[in-house]
Amino acid sequence: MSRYDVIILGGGPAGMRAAITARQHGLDVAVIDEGQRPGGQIYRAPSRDLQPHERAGATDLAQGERLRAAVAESGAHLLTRHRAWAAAPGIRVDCIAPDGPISLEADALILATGTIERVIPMPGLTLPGVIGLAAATILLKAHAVVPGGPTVVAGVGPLLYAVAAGIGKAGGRVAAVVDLLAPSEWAGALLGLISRPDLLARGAGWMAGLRRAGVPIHHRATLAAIHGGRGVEAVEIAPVAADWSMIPGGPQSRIAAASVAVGHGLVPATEFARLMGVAHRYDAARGGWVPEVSEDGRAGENLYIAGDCAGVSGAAAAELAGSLAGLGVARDLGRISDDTYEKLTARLRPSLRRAQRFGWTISAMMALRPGLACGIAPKTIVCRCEDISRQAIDNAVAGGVRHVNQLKSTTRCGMGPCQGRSCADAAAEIVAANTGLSREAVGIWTPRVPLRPIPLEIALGDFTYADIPWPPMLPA
Amino acid sequence: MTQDAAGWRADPAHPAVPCVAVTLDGQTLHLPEGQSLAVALAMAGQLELRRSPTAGTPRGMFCLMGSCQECLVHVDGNAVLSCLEPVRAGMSVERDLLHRARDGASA
Ligand SMILES: Cc1cc2nc3c(=O)[nH]c(=O)nc-3n(C[C@H](O)[C@H](O)[C@H](O)COP(=O)(O)OP(=O)(O)OC[C@H]3O[C@@H](n4cnc5c(N)ncnc54)[C@H](O)[C@@H]3O)c2cc1C
Ligand code: FES
Repeated sequence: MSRYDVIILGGGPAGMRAAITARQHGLDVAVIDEGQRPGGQIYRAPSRDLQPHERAGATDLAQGERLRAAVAESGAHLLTRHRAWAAAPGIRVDCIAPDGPISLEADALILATGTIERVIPMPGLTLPGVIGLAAATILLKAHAVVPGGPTVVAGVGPLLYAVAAGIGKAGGRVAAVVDLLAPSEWAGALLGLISRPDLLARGAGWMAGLRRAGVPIHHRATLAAIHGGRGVEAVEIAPVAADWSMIPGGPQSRIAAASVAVGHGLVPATEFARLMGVAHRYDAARGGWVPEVSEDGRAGENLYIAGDCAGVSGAAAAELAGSLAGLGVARDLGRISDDTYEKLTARLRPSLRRAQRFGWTISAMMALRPGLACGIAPKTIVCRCEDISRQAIDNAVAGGVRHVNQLKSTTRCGMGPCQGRSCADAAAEIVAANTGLSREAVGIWTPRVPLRPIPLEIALGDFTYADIPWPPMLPA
Repeated sequence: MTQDAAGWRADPAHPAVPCVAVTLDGQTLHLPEGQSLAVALAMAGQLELRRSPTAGTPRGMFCLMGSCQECLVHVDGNAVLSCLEPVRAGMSVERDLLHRARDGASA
């Protein structure tokens, strides 16, 4: 078993910066990431040699390369293509590596697992050719591929415009942008965004490009349905009220499409923090369930949580939070004094607060509103893995279900191979709406190892029959 | 679909990637080497990667980040997430569609 001072789970901006900082203070560091190279979501490494050029993502590509070079030089052990499936206090992390299972041990753990995308289902969401909005950023940035056109880009948040503009620049065709927010809501957020004029300018550039290309933008609207047999053929666009519920009898329009990119916000990936016993609270404006941590990301003895997995706040804040976590571990493990820790962190905190102000403004805009999940039609599939419909969830609640764990055991909703990552929010919203309980009260699935599907031999362990300690035979 | 419908394709601003031969359910395809297998299959017009286990509805890649598990295929006999698997020359890719069709036929 390999042993380190600190294991960092996740090699995005938070994890890379935490590793660089911890290395600066002499710690032996392992970074675990399932990607081919470090980078995380926003700085995802291109899958092949791409020429950085003037297009959406070029700035991110350059910043990603800088961070990757710095973390490679830092001397941290970069365990890429390692997928973690369990973690335990102590500290032990179990992974599947390219050559098979491995377990790592360390004195401290920094969780930097980032986010996953929330997509509230509508009819047709499971059709091939429909991908997540965040997935579309990966398609464009890491793979330099455009979805089959025409593409409808729908959901909420800045990624809508980043993806629509990116598809256009890369030679694709966007049939429409369908934005849950009203223009006035974007304008209302400007004050919180003004601290990053560079990013505001980038956003304005995307909008101008879309307008020039004549791409229709539907505000305060949603995808009522995606139509098609074995692939996407058309979508139905419907107006929504301020709570994102579809306006009954509102004018619907049907447009032809060959692909759809749809996403309704980012959710902190908290399964490892929950497995480690960290308390969580529900905070819609930070993406959903977030771990209870100090301002410096400390969640417990030798345990830190940094970046978007502690509450969605964006890449700049993720890097600063990573630095703070790296310093926290260096102090906890006795590599720097409390005084040095105070001096170094005092410099970082104001920058972190500034970055968070920007990030939190955006995550608050993307905060899930109750009307979206309430409007899911009875026949719509909510749990993709197990084909569980809205109706089945309604029936379970009518039968007495009050908590998502009860829902899981009575319907299998959330029990499939994705471990409930895809449907968690939609299922919890439906239970909350039907019972009148809060999201806090209906809870969150209890994480179960393995957190990722693993081959059966690994789950069973590598011992054989001969290793089983039989009690000695009694004398006859 | 409309007249200007076009497939999933590479951004022409980037140099083309050499293609290598792989098999998909026994048929030979030429896919860009090193490209994510799920994305490469989409570029070859193969968006459907599996069927849902109970209702049997067609499914394809969705999250592209290893979370949703919708892109599961078998490569050289091992179950892999095709969104995270790079294309390699000679790889043998099998979808569970075939088995379902066969099961259906024999049932
Ligand atoms: C798909 C996607 C695309 C996005 N695109 C953009 C964008 O284009 N622009 C933008 O401003 N923001 C984007 N975001 C938001 C972005 O996540 C954050 O701004 C930023 O990347 C957060 O950094 P982080 O270090 O906290 O987490 P991330 O960058 O998400 O990094 C987390 C890392 O942890 C790894 N990981 C997680 N679980 C495991 C596990 N079990 N085993 C091994 N490794 C694991 C992941 O592979 C990932 O590399 C995107 C988010 C998502 C989900
Ligand atoms: S597309 Fe979701 S895991 Fe591959």
